[in-house]
Amino acid sequence: MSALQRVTQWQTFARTWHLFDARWQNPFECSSLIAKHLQGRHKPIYHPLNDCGDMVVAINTRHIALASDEWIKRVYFHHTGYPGGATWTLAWELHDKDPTMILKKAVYSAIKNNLQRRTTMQRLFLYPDDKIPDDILANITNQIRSPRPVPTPLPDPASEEFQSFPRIAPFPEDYVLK
Amino acid sequence: MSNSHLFMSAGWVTAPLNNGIGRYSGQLQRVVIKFCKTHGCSRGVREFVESNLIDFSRQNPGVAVYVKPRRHRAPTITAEYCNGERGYMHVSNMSRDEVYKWLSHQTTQSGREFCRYRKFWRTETPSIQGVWSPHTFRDPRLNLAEFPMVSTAPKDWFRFC
Amino acid sequence: MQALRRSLLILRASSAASRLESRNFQKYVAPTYKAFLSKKKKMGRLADPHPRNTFAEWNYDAELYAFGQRLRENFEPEILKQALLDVSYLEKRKIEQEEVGIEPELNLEHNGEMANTGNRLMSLYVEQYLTTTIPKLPKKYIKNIRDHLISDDMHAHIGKQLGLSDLILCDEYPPTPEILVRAFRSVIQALAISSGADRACGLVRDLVVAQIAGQDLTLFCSPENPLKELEEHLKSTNQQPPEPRLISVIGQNFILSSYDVGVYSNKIMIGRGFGESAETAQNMACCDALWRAWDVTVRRKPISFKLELPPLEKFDVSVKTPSRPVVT
Repeated sequence: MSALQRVTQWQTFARTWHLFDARWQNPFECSSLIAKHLQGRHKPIYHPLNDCGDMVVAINTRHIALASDEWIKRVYFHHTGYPGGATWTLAWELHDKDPTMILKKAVYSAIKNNLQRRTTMQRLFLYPDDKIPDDILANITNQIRSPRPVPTPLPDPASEEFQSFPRIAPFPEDYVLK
Repeated sequence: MSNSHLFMSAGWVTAPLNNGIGRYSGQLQRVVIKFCKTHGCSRGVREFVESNLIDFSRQNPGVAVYVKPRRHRAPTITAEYCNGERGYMHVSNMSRDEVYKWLSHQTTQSGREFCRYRKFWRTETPSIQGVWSPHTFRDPRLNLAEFPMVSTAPKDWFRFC
Repeated sequence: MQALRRSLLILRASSAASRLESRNFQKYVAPTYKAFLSKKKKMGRLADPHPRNTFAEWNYDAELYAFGQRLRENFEPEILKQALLDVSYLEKRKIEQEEVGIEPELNLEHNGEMANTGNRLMSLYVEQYLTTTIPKLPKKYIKNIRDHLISDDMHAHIGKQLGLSDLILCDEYPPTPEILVRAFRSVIQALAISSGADRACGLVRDLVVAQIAGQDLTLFCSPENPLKELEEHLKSTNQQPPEPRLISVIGQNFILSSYDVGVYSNKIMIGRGFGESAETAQNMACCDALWRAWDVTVRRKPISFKLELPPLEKFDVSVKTPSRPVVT
């Protein structure tokens, strides 16, 4: 093998580090997107037998958004294996215990169950907020675009921005403000 | 790969010594035809030796032909190739034309041991324009970007929900 | 060895039987084959007790004629015979005759001298052919490719694939690589004597030079210090000095980091290289610039193997028309 062939192989199979901002994102919607990058399915060289998956760093997992009343309806089941060892944990309870767990489980179930599943999961780094260790931040060279727009929160009514916002019509004079 | 190919070696389609890039040279170097002078199962081979062997030899001057009569034994053809391999074949009860056909078939072989092909095509240079890498089509603006960037969802984001 | 052969036969028969009876293959087969292989390797090179030329169906003259016809060349039989006569055969014969008590006859000549002359012809022609087809490549790298093409390994391989193993007269069978090398080189010289140096050169082109078809030439053209060599190259062609620049980095703290470096001259990219570190990538980029300049990249038009070069005497005066040796 010549030096040229060696570096050609090296660069083709280099692993890219992607950043994913999970703020206001539905974890079950973006899990397939993250799984795609972890497995390398977005690459033209993808083949199930070649190991070309990328690394994904997901941040702000504490600020994920679940649809409708899923926080109280979604249940995570676990069984210790002993009689009476079954537990059912609600999504909001699980999120309280570990803010990265919901996204992690969502990505795990988005990957097909085979021998590569656990190895693929090891390429996923989850952080509850936007604090990333410096050595990992230095590796990141790409960002996966979030599928949903982040909504702008309503400003504080007492703030100047709120007050100076143009009104469609003034209140009637006899209207009593609370 | 089927179960019957487990004991077969695997390889690629190759030509011995890049045969044909310069000049083509046949890989069959000699043929030994063994037959019986009296037995019925050698009849086709006898007819072949009588009427076609001279023609065959003229057409293939690069093949040394040996004819070996032996009493009351089945007729065979042994083809020996330049790379040292040999093919052995029973030609009992074959007609003259069949013998001729099989002998002509042997002249077209490279003599390489049969193998299972990993692929039906193979090249040292799979791409002329260069193989893909993560650097290909990468936006150069990403070199100066500070992560995390402000994420902008696509305009038709609701389609994906 | 006999025991080994017999057990292999039994094994083959048994595995064939098991294939017929069941869909699965026995688990012991692979380990047994591996054990046999390792034993075979330990035993080293084994001589074949039945050389082909001891068979009843063997006509040496017919074989030599067929050999020439296969290559589409006309050899003079006596000269070809001498080309295939190895020194080991003569020595063995001499010892045998001395043992019997006969005065050893020394009227036969082995192919040592012919091999040297043939090798010289090949080396000259191969170098000339490469210089013609890859004109931009410097001499020192042309010599690398030439050395690869006229190496002992290459010639032993070609000799074996041509079927010389059966034709050579030597004391061991199958012949060792050294014997094959000598024989192949002498065959070229025998053709030069029989039909002239031009025919021999044509054969060298088709058999030896054609071995680089489809090969990665950059393997033979890698400079020790690419940046320095590129600087010299650009200076000699009156261009601006090279300026390596980092194009992109992927995973710089990572074990699989990948650097993409471009080399620019006068703000025009002349080469691009990759690697696990910036230094490797820079070296590869400089190499790439040189390879593009020398026209040895994988993107180049395939080398033609049909060229007719001017006769050898034109480019090397020391080569004369080969004289006929005295054959007794």
